[in-house]
Amino acid sequence: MTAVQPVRIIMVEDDEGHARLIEKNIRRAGVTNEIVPFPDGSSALAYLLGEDGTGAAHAGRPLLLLLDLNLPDMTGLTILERLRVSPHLRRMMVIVLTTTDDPAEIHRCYDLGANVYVTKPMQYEAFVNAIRQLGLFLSVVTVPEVP
Amino acid sequence: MRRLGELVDLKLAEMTRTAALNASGEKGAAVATVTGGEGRRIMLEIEQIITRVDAVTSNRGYQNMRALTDATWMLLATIAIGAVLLVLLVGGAMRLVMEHSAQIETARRSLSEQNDTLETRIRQRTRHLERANRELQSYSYIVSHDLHAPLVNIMGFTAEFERAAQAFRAFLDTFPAGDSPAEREAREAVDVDIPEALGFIQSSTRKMDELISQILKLARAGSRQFNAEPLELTALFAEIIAISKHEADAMAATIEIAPGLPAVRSDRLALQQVFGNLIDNALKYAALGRAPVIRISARIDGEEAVVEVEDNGRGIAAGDLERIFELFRRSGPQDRAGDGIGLSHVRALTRRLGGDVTVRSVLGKGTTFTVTFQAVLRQKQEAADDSGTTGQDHHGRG
Repeated sequence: MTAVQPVRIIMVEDDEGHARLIEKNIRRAGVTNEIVPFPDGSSALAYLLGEDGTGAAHAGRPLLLLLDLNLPDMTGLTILERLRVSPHLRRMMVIVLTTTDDPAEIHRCYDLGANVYVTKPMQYEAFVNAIRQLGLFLSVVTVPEVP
Repeated sequence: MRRLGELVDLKLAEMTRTAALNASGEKGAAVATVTGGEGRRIMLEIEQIITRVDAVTSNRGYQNMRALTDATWMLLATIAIGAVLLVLLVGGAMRLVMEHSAQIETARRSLSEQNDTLETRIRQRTRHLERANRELQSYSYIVSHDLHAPLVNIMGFTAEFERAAQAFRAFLDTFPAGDSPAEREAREAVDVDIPEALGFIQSSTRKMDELISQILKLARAGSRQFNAEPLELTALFAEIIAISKHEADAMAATIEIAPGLPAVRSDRLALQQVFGNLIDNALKYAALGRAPVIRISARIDGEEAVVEVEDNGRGIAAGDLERIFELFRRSGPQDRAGDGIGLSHVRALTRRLGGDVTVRSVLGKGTTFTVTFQAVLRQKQEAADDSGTTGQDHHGRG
């Protein structure tokens, strides 16, 4: 995290409850970064790619995407694909957060350039741990700026 | 003719005499004899007879000739008619043969057409079934995933609630205990009611999570690609039994494998799961006060392998025989641990192995499961089935 431009966390999660749980647990882990939530893929893509559709709007700012794969209007994989062809957003850090623990899907996410794949654990303790570790991770990792 | 013979004799005698006369030098007498009345008369008579014979014989020859000619003509006509008949017969025969072969050809063609139609129809049906199967699999996959999402919330917010209750309790504990009814009630709520409620919510959601995971496992097992390999059933069953050995020994159970089981070509893991489940069930549902005896036998019937797993367990009521194969359904007293997944898994697997599982049982006496599967597993279909499933199932459910 740079002192000048803190990482902005963009959370794409259609389930309000999950969004709230994720946010609460990230906050509990001591992460104070701005979190911008989106409940569906289209609004998230519109925000990310900006009006010109290139993602240039976020130039100079480090971004981190928390991405749910199961969205009402598209799959998270589509969002990943769109980001990877954008000259500005292709190096953006993406953390996939989903209930799927299917190896084939995990591989697909990594193939499409997801940096981290986190399964939403069913047991609360494990879930909190995962989110906390993610939060700790967020507080030490250097996120690439959008060029 | 007799007269002619006599005359010839007379003449010959006369000629002999004449010759003798002639020889003895009595030429004159010989000539006289020849030209004399006697010889001349004989000669004339011979001539007459010969003429008569001639006439008679020539007449008869003509008749013979005539008959012969007639016969020849008859023969010719017969032969001609025969030939014509023969030609007709051959022609007819050839026509018959040609007609027949034409009919056979038509029949063959329509048969092969029907065969083609039948094959097309079978292919269509198979495709439909495969599609339905895939849809069912992806359906259970989606359902289990979509059920997971709200569960995450229930679990998560229950924990939030628990956390809040603990905070509240910690706060209450900072006060010295009073004895106002409101405080007693508040302390009871925080100490007893809330933890109890949370406990039930958590155990129920955990149970639901397990069920969903099982369905998910079933759906995934349904899309696992089978790998046919040569398998000796005797060895396979020995392996499966070894897995349950600890449990079987604890129950003093006897597990017998019939001698000389056949070899098959099928998926090892699927068969292990199928028979592992059946043997586990046989042990689990043993009759009270009776050591379990499990007998496994197998034979090849046409293209199918038929395996029977027979036990002397508590049996299944007639009304439940079909129900036990349904998901989450269990039969008899619910006194054994289980989630009602095993047999529906067995049925799904055996059907994918090209067979089925059936059961017969006498309540209180025992149960026999009969499993059939393709003795030589056809893999092509499975491969096609699977590529489709994988593509559909692993797509974007988060």
